[in-house]
Amino acid sequence: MTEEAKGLSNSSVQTSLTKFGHDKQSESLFPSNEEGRLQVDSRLSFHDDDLSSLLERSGHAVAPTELVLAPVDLHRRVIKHRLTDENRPRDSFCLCKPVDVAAELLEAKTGNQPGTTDRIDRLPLLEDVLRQHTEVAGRFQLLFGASPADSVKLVEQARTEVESITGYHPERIDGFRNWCQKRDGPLGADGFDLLTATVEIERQLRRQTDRVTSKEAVVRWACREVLGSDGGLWQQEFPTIDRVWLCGASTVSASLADFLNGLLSTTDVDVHIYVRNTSGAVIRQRLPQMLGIEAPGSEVFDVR
Amino acid sequence: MTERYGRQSPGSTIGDSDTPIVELPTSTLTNEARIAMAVVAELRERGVPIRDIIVTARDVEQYESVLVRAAIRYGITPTVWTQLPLADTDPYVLCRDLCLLFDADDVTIEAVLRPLEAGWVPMSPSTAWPIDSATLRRVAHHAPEQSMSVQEWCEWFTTLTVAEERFETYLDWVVEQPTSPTATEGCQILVDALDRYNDWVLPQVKKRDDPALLETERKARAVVRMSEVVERAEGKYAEWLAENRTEQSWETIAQMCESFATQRPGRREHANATALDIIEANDAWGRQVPYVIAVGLTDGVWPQETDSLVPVEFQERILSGRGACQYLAPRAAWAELRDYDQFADVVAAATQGLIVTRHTRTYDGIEQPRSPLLSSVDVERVPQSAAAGLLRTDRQIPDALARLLPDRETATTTEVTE
Repeated sequence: MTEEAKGLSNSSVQTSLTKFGHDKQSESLFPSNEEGRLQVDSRLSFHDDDLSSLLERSGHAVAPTELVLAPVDLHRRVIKHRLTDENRPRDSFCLCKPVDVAAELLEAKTGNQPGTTDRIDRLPLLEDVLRQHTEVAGRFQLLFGASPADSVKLVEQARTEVESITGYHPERIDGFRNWCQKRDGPLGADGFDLLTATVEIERQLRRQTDRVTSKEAVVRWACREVLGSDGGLWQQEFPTIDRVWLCGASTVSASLADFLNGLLSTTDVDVHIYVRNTSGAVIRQRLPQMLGIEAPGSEVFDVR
Repeated sequence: MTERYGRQSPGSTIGDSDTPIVELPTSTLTNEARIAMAVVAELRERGVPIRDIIVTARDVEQYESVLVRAAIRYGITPTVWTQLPLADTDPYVLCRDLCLLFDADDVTIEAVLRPLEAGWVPMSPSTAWPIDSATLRRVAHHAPEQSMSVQEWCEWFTTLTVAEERFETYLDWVVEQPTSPTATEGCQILVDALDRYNDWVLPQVKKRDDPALLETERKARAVVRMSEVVERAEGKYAEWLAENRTEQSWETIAQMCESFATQRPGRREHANATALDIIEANDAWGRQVPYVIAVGLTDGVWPQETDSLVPVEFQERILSGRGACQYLAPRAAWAELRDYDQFADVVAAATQGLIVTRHTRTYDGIEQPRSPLLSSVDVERVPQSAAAGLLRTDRQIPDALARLLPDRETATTTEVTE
């Protein structure tokens, strides 16, 4: 069963929501935002079948036409095995993680692989920042109630969450801050502290290391480069790719959404998203909305 | 109006699979693990190959030790697949670099020192072990750049002004090891090194570690995982030797360790592979296995509240995307989205039958409710007393479960398609 969202296809979205016993008026599904900007790209499709739409694209090819982004290692393996089991050639597929594609684009642009930082690498760096910068340490202390040096895991969690939600994009940071400031009481204050502290710690983290501070940051950087080259960089590195697929994701982070946005804006590729059982309804509704942002991939920090 | 997902949307169903689902409640988490393995044992006795069975949990770490213990009790070899990047850890590096050192004719000083850096210690080490990295760096700094045989390195070490007994102990040991190991020898040497790491190095790591004990946790898990890898590599190596597919070589052992350490579950290469896969629910995505046993279908375990630092009200706002939140990216950890996704994958994965277990109380006796996930599928509920029959020595199969299992009399031969 394949569902494709083409433009504002109310009936298809309606179907996915009535699965949850909920009947909604179409206008509340796509509320117009403050500036009246809403884009749903017709080259964006959603799938919830058993991978057959993807696997049908297999064929003998000189170069791959399908770029399949599957962030989870095991999911990539599953796809490979399905191809083998069904005796389908793998030539038309290129199977990888979003960060790998981003790194390849950046290497083409800069000549070097971008050095990334994993969680394991970040923890000691975050500890150093907390020790050196009492103000940001103080903000985290307000949030967690414990000395942040003892709770560097929590600080890392906070950082990861805010990065996933905002990608440190100026407009997203504003949206986050607006909600917090409109709320009276501790929730708003906590939200505000969370935002301020994590943005500040990221700023300091970037001073602690020359490496890119996260995989998401690599993806955003690649997004900016693709946009900056008006798609030329993508054409250069992935000239034969017709379709980009995202598989196995329950969350589409701000950074990944912006990257897909960059591709949709500056190249001819179609984007296909395999959605999962319950998060699927969220992604179908929210991703098209998120594509309306201006300057995808931007950050509130100074460019490196 | 807020969107509703998962448990807040009671009419929702998970998938449209026909596979029968049977629910086996029991008192504690430990009993869950025993019941799960009793079912595995029963399946095996009815001729189901081990690769046609998978055990899964939302959070395997929580269940790992009870599942492994229960498996061993039933004579089942478990392999636990979790997100540990084993190849980055010291226990793995220790084994790999020992293999490489034994295998090569001429080595650089770095190759000599790497196993020490990764935590090699001799039998019954003094408190001077393991050798600290500062000392190792100093030695490396003073060493000649060329590659030499281990014997030649032994001689070079004796020329150092500071008599370093520890290096002598190490190099004497290296020289003693067989150059062309049998499977038993290879395994024994590596396992011994890992055991000594576990007994002598880990406690020191723990002492130095910060209160969160991150490093200790990681290394402890790595030791367990690497021991499993080495045993599997031994088995495979022995097979290959018997089939004359390789000569006795440390390099082959190293390669096998690498492929097992980085391997992910999927189709096994041999129909008689004996290990039971225990996987994270997230890794059930896209898979098809005849029998799946899912543990932990207790509210609070699966689904499990993740401690998001974002207030729930804000989460709901971002999920709905209204107003200023329209560009913010929602997280699947919210509204239990991810937990529901994963359970749906588990349901879809089972082609012949899905058995779910849950515990009804904590070890302290606090009642634990049934997972709301079970309300979104058609489940045959077995009473707790009937489920307990599985743990008897004269194992008693509840009717609902019996209907799902292959017949006892027929020895099913699963088609081996490679």
